[in-house]
Amino acid sequence: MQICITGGAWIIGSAYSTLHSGALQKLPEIDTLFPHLPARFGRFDDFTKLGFAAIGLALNESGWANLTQPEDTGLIISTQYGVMQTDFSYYATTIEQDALLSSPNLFSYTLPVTVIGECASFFHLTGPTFCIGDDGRSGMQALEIALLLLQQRQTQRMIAAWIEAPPELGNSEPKRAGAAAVVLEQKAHDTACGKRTIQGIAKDGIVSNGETVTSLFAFFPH
Amino acid sequence: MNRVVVAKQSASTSLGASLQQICPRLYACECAITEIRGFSTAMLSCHVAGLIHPSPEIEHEQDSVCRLMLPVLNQIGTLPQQTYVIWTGIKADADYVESQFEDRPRPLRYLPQHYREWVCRFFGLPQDQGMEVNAACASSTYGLALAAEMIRRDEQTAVLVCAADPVSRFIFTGFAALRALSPTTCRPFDVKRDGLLIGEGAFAMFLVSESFAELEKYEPLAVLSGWGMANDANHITAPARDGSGLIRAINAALRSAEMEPHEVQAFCAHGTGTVYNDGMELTVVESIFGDRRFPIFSIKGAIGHTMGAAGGIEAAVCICAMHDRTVPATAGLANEEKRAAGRVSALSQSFAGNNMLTTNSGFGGCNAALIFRNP
Repeated sequence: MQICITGGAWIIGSAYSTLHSGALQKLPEIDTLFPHLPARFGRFDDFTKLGFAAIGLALNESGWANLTQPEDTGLIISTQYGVMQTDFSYYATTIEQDALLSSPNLFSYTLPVTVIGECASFFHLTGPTFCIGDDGRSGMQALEIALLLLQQRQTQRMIAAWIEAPPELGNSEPKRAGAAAVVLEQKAHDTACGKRTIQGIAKDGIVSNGETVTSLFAFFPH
Repeated sequence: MNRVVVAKQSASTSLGASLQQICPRLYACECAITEIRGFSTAMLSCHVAGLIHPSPEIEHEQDSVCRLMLPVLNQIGTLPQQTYVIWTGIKADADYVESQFEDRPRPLRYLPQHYREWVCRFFGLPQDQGMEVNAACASSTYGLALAAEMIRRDEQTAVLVCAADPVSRFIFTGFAALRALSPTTCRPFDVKRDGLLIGEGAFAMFLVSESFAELEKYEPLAVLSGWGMANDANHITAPARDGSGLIRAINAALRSAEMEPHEVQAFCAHGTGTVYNDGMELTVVESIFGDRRFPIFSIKGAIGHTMGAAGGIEAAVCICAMHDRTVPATAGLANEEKRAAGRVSALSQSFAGNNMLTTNSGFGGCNAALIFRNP
């Protein structure tokens, strides 16, 4: 078996690209990227919108975005700040009247796994799904764990993603908002793999198409 | 492939600051839910939670997460230098967020990474050795499954999985806003169950390969023989009524343990006391185990739902229960639902088996299952 990257997408600032299209394009309103949207799309916080867009574009490119039946696909999201900005928004609703009017909708988005729930229910993903803290390598650890789970036959297909929608904390930490996602699939060696294959995990990154990749961004044009 | 064994474990809940205190009280069906005094609940329908009162020697610790973790880490003792640390607490920033709206200093730690690094420093371990996992209320179960996966694959020889989640105003008001909190009490699998209660808790579990345990002369407490993870693909906060995600997770755990369903002799359910969660779990039990009557229990009626730490605390309780040959009572249960009859009890039950299943389900549709075996 070989592990192929069959689709990917990257959103940063006002631009996006996909693995196969290559070129950076101006990012339109996210709700114009997809023919159909989840019923709750209008309630999504920024983190969920960014993540949904990158994961949806990656699945679209890999051909797995329009399924109607559950699919054995897992999803790992790497993030450092998670939904901290949404946490502030939610908590602001608890201040008046001793929390009587706290927003249940905002509270539902105060966990980074909520974007997983949105993507899983919309794209029918039923494999292992969880978030991890980003270790500064912009999603590489998610990619490494996705490979581990694929090699262990825990699932047929994995999405590794990175999402950040950091809050303004008033300190000097460099922060960037954006999202990236790649779809990994196990395929027989005699099957066409597309643009990228993964040969394995090296000491300082992932070996893909013969080169060592140290960030999810390396799969996309800059 | 390596066998995965539990070498050390510890936990702290409202029932006690150690498993030696907690487990006998669970067997006796005690409940440690008390009135919240730290913030006002006057306008809410629930006023209680499972609260931990820190001992005088750690009262000075300002960080509420560290205050919960300290007794648990102290009980673990020392760890080898190669230990990889997985942090599974889910709301590291609650205190920080609250402080922004109050006239008080902002805490130093607010990211899960900060707490994982703090744990590394506590044991004198390199700070870049580990990761943080969030699968909502199934976080610790996922963390333990990933730790086991790493050990089985020989990627790590020793992994500490740990978490603490305090009862904060942030969390409490959120569950109240979702109308998930019981206005009465938490009654897992009861016909009159009407919601969950939250509780604070902390745990740490040290997993190693069997060969490393032999080398270091650790006495294995249990074998983590199987694990599985799956998503419901259903809803962001509600479980799938048919339990499809949990069924997949349990079946994956059974395959991983190379076991048949009849070999599971007791089941520590997520058992939150909500109508939908407990109903879903009973559907799953019937789907996988058929009509078989075997002990099922939930500890959330006794200590509340301990959020990110729940799966780890419940795993630790399972291991104690296997040693003590006793299945804990389900506190809060008065009249069990029909499908729970002969399975769930308000009395502790004797346990003659060797395999125990524990599962958790969380927001985002996350489900995970672990199977522990007596060594």
